Amino acid sequence: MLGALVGLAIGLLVWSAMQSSAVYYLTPAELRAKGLEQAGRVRVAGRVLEDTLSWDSVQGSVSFTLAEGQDSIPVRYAGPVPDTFREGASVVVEGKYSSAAERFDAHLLMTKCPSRYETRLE
Amino acid sequence: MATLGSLALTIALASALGSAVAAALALRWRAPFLGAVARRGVLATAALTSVATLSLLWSLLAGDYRLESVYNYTSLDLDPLYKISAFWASPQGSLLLWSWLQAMVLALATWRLKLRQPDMLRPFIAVSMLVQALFLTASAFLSDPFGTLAWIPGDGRGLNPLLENLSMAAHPPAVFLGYALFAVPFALATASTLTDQKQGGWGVAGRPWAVAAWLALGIGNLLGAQWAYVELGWGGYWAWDPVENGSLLPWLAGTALLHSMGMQRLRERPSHWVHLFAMLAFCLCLLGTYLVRSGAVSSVHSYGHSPVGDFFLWFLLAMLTGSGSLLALRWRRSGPASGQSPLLSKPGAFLLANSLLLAVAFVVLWGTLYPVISRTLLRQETYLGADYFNAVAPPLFLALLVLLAACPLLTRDQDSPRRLARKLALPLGLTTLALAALGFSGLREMWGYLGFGAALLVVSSSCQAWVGDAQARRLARGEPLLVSFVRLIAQNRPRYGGHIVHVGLALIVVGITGSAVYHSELDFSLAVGQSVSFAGYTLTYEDIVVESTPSRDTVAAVVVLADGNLRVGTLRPQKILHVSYEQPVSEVAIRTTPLHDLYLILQGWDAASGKAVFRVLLNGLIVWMWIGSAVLLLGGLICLWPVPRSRTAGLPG
Repeated sequence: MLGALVGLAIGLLVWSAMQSSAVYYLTPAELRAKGLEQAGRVRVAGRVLEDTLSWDSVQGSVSFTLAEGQDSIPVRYAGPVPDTFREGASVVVEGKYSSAAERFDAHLLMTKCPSRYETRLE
Repeated sequence: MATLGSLALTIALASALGSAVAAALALRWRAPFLGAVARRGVLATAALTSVATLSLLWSLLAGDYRLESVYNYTSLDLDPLYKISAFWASPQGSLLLWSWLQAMVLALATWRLKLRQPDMLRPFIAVSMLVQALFLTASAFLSDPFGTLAWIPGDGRGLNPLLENLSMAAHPPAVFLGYALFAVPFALATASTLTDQKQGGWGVAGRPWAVAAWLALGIGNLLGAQWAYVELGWGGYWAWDPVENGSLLPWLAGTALLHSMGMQRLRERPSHWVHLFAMLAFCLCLLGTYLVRSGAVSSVHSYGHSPVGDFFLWFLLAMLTGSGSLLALRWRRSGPASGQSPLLSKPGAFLLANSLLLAVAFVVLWGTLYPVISRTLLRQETYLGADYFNAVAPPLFLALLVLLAACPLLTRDQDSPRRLARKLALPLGLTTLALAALGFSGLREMWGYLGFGAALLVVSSSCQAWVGDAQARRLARGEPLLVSFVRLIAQNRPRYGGHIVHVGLALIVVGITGSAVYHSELDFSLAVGQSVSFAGYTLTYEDIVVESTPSRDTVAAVVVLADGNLRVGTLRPQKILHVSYEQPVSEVAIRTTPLHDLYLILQGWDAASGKAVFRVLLNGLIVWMWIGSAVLLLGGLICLWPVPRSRTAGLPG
């Protein structure tokens, strides 16, 4: 009996925590469809578009365009970067779109590449 | 050399399989010859896995860049220590490290089991060598550390500079040692369901393994946290990332396991709880590695999708169903647990603690796997960020801490609430006084009171229990109190080592609470000579120094720290640009005092204007987290310290 009550309390705790911390996982197209600013804090997945990657040593950040099919959004991120991050890599960023700066400000950057090395010869 | 390693790995796999089969047949047919074959097979597997490990190690130190795992993680100019740590930087190498540690642990466990509980030897070898064979299958065929490139490079790509750190070098071996050690209670638990034991419980023999596993994994996680704090430049140490959670979950199960084992009396068969947690702890290790190697959930730590990830999912499911059904059968055979434990007693408290630990594990697991659940069931992948975990975990941990504080004062039988209240009077009184003092000092946050209060309750209750026992011993033996206090450790290592561990845990909670509650930060940019005020200090940007070497450029800002008019120290945060590594790496400058850490990051600097951009953080009391970790390690080692042979003569296990 006591156990059931405690279980219910934990369940409520989990439920309310979920409501306030859920972060959707979208593609650039889905993000635009949802409304860039309205989406709030989201995760966006895509590819780093070639010839758009640039490092800024003054600000300590990196800028690039995240693309998926025909849609893309500009992204800026300051923080540690995974080994596998490079042009053409599949990445997931988490952050918010800033209409003032007209770009997605990411506070988290993750890549999906299996290993640092690609088997094709450059 | 690489071919030798590859060959050794394949033969080790055959040896493990053969050993498992021989042990199973020996159990069935009672054939001593097959039993001997099985035992030799365990040793052979350990030896062959060692050969493979040494082969990869040699290749790393000698710079055999034909191997992928050497090429991608080392270079000619890398320090030899980090060439060794590059072994576990690669996914293939880290899996081999785990396999090797496990092979060695299982060989040692087999040897000890032969001495103490030979009737469990055959089923133990059968289960443990099956597990080892599965690991070696993954290493040999799905995640080959000896994979070669099509050409021979002259130099490697080098190690990620963020990994050139002692804590990071030690973190994976500690974690994998913990995982490897959890295989022993798992194999013992599964083996015990396959045989009728004549010689009492295996719990006593298995307990040191559970404690060692818990200690290694705990220290491993703390090393990872310390690395994140020092190297990653965001001032935090735990992000509730899926991979981090994957390492926390087996540790939670391990905590429940070792306490459940502690409750066993000497000749009793281990309870259902022990079996459950032994199974859970090991399976959660498999789940953790599945998360790292499959890309099922996005993580900064994951290696991305790999076939070996899916392999571990099947491995995990097989172990869960196999071990789970054996456990369920045993449950049905032996009937329900003996009576209800009254709440206000040690057994009752342990029951409650186990339930709470399961609850924490469940909420963490739910949050970690929710992306997969939402993707499958709701068609919209949703993540639960750190906010979710920081909302659900602290209340449950708090309840556990309060329980931990009450436990030393409980007895095996039912206690009356009034007597318990009287025993707790001193700890509660001290805690209330301390919280009142905090209130006067201006603390406003509820979690500050809860965190510090719980920590102090644990420390005072442990001290009270220990002093109480010391006084009883002093009266019996006429020693001075201090001598009694110390001699108690030798008398009952797990109990007093446990008290030290709990105090260490309380100190860690002080560090966590302090850094959460006494936290402030500031972003600012300065020209040379300018100052800024922060948290009672004055930071003056004095100079910027650029150093160039063939492999990297280091930009160091010189910032002088002053407290009023007194010059307190000089901080040198850096930004390092490596030739072989595109991304600039920050070296944070930290000034540590017992009260707080001042954490200074050089975000960027403009050569043209001479302005530098900084971020400074104040983290209160965080040094106590690392002090607490050391205390925890000390307590754990005391728990593991072997009891002299003469005292265990005549006792099983």
